[in-house]
Amino acid sequence: MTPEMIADLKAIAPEIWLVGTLLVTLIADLVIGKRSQTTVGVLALLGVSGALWALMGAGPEAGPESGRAFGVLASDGFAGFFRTLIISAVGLVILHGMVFRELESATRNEFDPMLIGAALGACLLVSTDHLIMLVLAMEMLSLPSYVLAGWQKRERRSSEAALKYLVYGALASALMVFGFSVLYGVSGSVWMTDVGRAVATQWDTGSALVRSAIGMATVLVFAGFGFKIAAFPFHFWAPDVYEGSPTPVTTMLAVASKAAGFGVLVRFIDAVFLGETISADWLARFGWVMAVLSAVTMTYGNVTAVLQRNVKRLLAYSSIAHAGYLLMGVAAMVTLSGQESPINLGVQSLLFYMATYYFATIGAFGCAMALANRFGVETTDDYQGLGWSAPWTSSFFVIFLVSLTGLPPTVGFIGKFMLFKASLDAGLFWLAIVGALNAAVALFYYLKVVRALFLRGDREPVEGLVARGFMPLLAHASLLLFAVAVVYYGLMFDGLSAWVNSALL
Amino acid sequence: MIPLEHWLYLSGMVFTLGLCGVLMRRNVILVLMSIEIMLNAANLALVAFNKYLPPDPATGATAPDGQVFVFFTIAVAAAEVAVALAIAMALFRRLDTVNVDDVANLRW
Repeated sequence: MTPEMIADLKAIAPEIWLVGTLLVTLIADLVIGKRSQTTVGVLALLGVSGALWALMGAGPEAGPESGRAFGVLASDGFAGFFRTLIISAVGLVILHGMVFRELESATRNEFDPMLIGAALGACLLVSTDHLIMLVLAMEMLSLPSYVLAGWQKRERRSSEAALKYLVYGALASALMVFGFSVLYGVSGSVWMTDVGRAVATQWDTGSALVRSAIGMATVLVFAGFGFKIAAFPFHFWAPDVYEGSPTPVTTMLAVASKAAGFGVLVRFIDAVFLGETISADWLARFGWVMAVLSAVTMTYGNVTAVLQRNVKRLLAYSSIAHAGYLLMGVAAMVTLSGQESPINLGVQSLLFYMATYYFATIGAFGCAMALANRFGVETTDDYQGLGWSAPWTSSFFVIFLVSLTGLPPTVGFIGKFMLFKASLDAGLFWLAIVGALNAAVALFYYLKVVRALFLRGDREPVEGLVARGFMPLLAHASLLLFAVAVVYYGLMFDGLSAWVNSALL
Repeated sequence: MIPLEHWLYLSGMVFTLGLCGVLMRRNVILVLMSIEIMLNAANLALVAFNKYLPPDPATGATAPDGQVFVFFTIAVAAAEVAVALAIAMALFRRLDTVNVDDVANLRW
């Protein structure tokens, strides 16, 4: 073992933890899964905590000197930021999955290795800048996700969700691989930086054929990424899959999968399309396309969300809308990249918004699941008056929805503020206006949930099924923690923005 | 030697055929087969590009990145088919159909 190799292994310590946990939970399920329901889940939680601990312990200085592990994995702050979000999100999903009533006990324990496998793929996806590794990591994330979406085999809508996710996902990855093959043909390399250099020269000097090939490859590759982040026009799967999947899986797809998609999207754009020699012509066109995609995605998501009654479906459309907001950061990043500035405000606001989205979305889905566990409700009509029966969960729900809307004093307000500021700095005034109008639409449908919980129906408390025990308590405690974090970071966001600033590309 | 363009025409045609199959076929199994055809079009293009890549002036050899890529794509496609067929089976047991038009319980 050379010192370089040890440094490489240290850089991927979180992934090693995940692989270990995957194997341990798989075997533990075979050995003791029948007798003890919670043991496997607790082991999975411990393993994921170990991965987080390894991630926290290894700062940027602990990694290999070259800043990359085994040649293909970047071990920078950017990867660390997204890996932290992904691993902690999956940990919470495991915890919530343990108390989720609708999962059958026979297959409950195989749930955890699947989730951890998806987390592993997501972690590799945000770290890599090698196209082969990117495809592998993308599939490593996708394949367990397809299976997880169809986990409730007896539920018709769950099987349907799995099939829709699979068909759209396989199509998106086929388009992406074809796009990569064209980029490989243009550049002769599978490294993002080499591809970027070739794209920059070919765009300026190449023939019309080569230019159109680059344009086509860009569209195809964006089909792959757009599918993962559920951006228009690759969002069609999202509402059906979010509604049909078991709620913990929906949380995973909305947070971990989307974070991984944005991580790889930003790294890819930064390396391939924003190289030093790229022409201003390309930057202007590309930034404009991103801004339009952002505006259309958020408008589509928000306007359609207004019509929804099922809360999971409503949150699915809201998650499409948030993909639009995050793309606003991408548009600002592309437009601002030509300017000499130590910090790209676009990337900064995108990462900050990703963190706010992470807190609020996990919280909102967690609350929806807690209400479903206790009362068996899923639509706003059934929610009526439940705020008086489950005051804690419902108040947390309100806090998370306020943060998703972007109102003070929550962290969502700071996130939206930074995004709007970044797009104003980038000269995209119309995009900032569209974003502000969208926030008003979002307020309407988020308030619909709040109104159903507290202002409609009779205030007679309903008992419902109250789960006792340590794990349900822990799941509720995690909701409390997130609600506190949403308000705390909304008032004192210095800590969060310092973390974001250490993660810029 | 056959010029590179011919390989790319073939690859483009195969890709288009696959895409048409995905859009027009209603049987899940055939949709999945069409997606595999699209992946194979990408594989063909990767190998062709690799074959016609100018060799590295320093070593005189060409890096086989494109061909390595193809092996990984094939493995990934095989894994995808395994998962896909399992999901199609589960759905067939529930709905007694593999027609994508019948799988439309969830909408709007």
